[in-house]
Amino acid sequence: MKNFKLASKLFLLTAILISSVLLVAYVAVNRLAAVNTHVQHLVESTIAKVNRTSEMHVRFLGGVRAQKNAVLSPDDETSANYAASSRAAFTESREAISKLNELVLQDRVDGQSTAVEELIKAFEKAEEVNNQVLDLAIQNTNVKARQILSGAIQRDVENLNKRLQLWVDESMTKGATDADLVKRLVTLYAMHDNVVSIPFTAAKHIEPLTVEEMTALEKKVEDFLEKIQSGLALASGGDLSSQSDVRNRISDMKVSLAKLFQLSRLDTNNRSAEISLKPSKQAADEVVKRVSKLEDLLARESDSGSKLSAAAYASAIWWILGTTLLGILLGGIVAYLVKESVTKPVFEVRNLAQAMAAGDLRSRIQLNQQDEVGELSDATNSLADSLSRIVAQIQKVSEGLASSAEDLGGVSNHLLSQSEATSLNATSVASAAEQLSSNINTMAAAAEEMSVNVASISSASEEMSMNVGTISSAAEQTSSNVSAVSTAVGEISSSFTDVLNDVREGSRVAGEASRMADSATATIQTLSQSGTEISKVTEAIKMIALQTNLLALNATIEATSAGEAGKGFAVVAHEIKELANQSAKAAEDIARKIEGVQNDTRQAVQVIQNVSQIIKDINASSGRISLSVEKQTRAASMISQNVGEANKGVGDIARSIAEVAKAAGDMSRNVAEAARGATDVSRNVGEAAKAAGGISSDIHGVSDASRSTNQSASKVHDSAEDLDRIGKELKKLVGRFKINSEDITTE
Amino acid sequence: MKASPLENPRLFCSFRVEGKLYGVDILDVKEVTTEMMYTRIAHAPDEVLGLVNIRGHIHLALDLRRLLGLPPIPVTGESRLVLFKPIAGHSFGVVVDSISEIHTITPDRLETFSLAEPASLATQLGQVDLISAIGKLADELLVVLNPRRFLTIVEQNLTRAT
Repeated sequence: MKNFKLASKLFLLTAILISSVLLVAYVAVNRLAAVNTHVQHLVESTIAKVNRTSEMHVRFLGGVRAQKNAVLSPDDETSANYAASSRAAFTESREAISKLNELVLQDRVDGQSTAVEELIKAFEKAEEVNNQVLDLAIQNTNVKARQILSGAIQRDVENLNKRLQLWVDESMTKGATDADLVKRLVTLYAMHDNVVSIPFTAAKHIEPLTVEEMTALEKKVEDFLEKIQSGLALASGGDLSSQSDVRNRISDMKVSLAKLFQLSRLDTNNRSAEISLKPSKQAADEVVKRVSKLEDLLARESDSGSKLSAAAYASAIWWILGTTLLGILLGGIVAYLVKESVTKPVFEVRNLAQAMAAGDLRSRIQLNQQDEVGELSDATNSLADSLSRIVAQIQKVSEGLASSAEDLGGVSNHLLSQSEATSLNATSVASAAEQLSSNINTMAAAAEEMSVNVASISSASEEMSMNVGTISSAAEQTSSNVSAVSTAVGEISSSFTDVLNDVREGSRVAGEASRMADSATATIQTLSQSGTEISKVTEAIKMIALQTNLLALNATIEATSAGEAGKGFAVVAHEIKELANQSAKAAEDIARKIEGVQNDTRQAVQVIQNVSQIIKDINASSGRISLSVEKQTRAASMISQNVGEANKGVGDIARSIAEVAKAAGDMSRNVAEAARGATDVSRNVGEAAKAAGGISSDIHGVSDASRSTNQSASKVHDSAEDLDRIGKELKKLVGRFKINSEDITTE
Repeated sequence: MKASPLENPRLFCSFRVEGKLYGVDILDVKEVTTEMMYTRIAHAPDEVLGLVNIRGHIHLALDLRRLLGLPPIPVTGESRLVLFKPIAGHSFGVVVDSISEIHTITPDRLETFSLAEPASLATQLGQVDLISAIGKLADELLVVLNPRRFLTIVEQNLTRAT
């Protein structure tokens, strides 16, 4: 933005303003179109639906009215006309409904299609009922029945009555027997009653009755006719032509009555009135209810439609206003930005020029614009740079001048102060030289005294040296004695070690002997075990011997029993006995021998145990010996250690004494040197006194020279001050310009 | 009791009871055995130890100690059963403490006993029926018993008891 040329910035501003205007216009058009659609919808569909509904309602009501008229009107033609007009009205109403349905389905508003469907259902029901009513109404059966009654039947009845009257008159005139007359009269009167009852009953039949009642009445009439017919013969008095006449009339009447009954049964007037009053009314009411509901819905629709269009209008207003504001805002922001990018740099250039006029060359303009204003600011910056550089150079030259003047001033001051100090020092030195000569004299006297003291020290140290020699020899002897002791102890120690080794050897041997004793014991145990086993065998042999003995006994018994024949066997028995005895003896022998061996074994075991015990004792005592030997060894080594230390101590003593002797020797030497030195000192002191006098005269010369130096220094100081003043003036002139430090270049 | 001083030397099967040496004529002895499994007889006298089965034959076993009037002792490993031949008595034997040897004794060294000497010590002892002779050995006396009397003694004792 900052780098655009001024012309392009203004162009941008104009473009934004125009585009915002266009946007507003577009939005307005859009919103107005929305309003328009709502209004159109309202007019086209909602109003049309309302019209159709009301048309349907009107026609429906007209149809119902015509229906009622059809029911009420007594003659067929008017009924038929009314019926036709009712049907036509219903048809027109149906057409209106279907058109309404089309519109509703097109629109698809909530609830309306269901309401229309319900309306259609109700309407169809109403139409059906209406048709029922009309079908009945046009028949007018009751009226017709009444007509028959009042017409044909009345005529017939009257005829019959006339005839009966004739017969009555006839019978009166004829003058038959009383009984016959009476009978005829009675019959005639009964017939008259019956004849009169017939129209009465028929009239009753026409009224609204149940089927059973109607059947009963018909039966009654039939009865009457029967009675009439049955009484006819008697009543007529034998007149066949009048009889047949009456019979013809009766059959005519029967026909009329049949027709009457048929018509009366149909009872269409009553029924149609009934239907018209109740079901038809209900259906009509239902239809009206639905129609009003639909009208409500349509009213709601039109209401909502008008609300929508109002809302659309309101939203359109808001949109337009909003867009307008947005455009204004955007244009305002861009205008502001453009203005800023132009005016701010111009102000900065102005400020810079003013500062430079006031003498402040430090500030620069920090603009990064590429347009005309930016170029202007760059040029101003470069002007300030060159001016500040020139001023900086002048400042530097003036500062150099000022510093040189200062230096000169400093040097002259220094010179002045130094010359003053020099003259002061010269005075102090003179006084010090006098003091020095007096001190030297004092020193000479002291040196004399010192030499006397030194001689006495020298003799004392010689004596000390002799004593130290005696001590040294004694120490040497002690040292040699201690060494002898040490060696003896070492020998003891080594002999103890030998003893220890021997004892250990002995212990080992004892251990071996013990082990061997144990093994011997074990072997003897084995031997003893073997002895036991042999004993067992011996027992077995004894048993065998016993058995053999028994065998021999039995054999002898048998042999003796056998007598002579058994003598050979007796020999055998004898031999067996001998064998048994020998076996027994042998077994006993073995047993005895075993016994002996076991005894010896036991003795041997005893001996071995004794030996073992002795070995253990030996082991124990060798252990004890070993312990005590160790103790002795430790003691000997401790003695050795102590002796070593004593030796060392004695050695130290010897060394120290040697050193003391050496020190004593040194000391006597030093004392001799000190005596020599004292003599030198007194000599030197004399020479120093001489030198002090020379120094004093030199110092006076120095003092004169320094005074003259002082005078020249003050002159130099005055000139330096003049120079300094000039430098300061120049600096003040240049100091009015303020510049940056980086512009000051070093030369 | 067969006293025969002029016959050949007789052999006696000797055994010990209570340490004393007794014997019987070997011609009376059938066998000496170690079998000691008796089957006791109920209600039998004490002298009858029971029945013994020897190789299928049943013998009666008597306790010699009781027969001699000594207290009985339990059977030991030394105890032997001496079975007699039928001539001495039918199928019986006696149990003795231990068996000794077969001694041959010449008649001159045998002293017989007889009932004709009522004042002898043996009679007073009440064993006169059992003992038939005394034999003199080198260092001991051998009391010769009469086995035929054993069963009779038992019967006597039985009848005396009942």
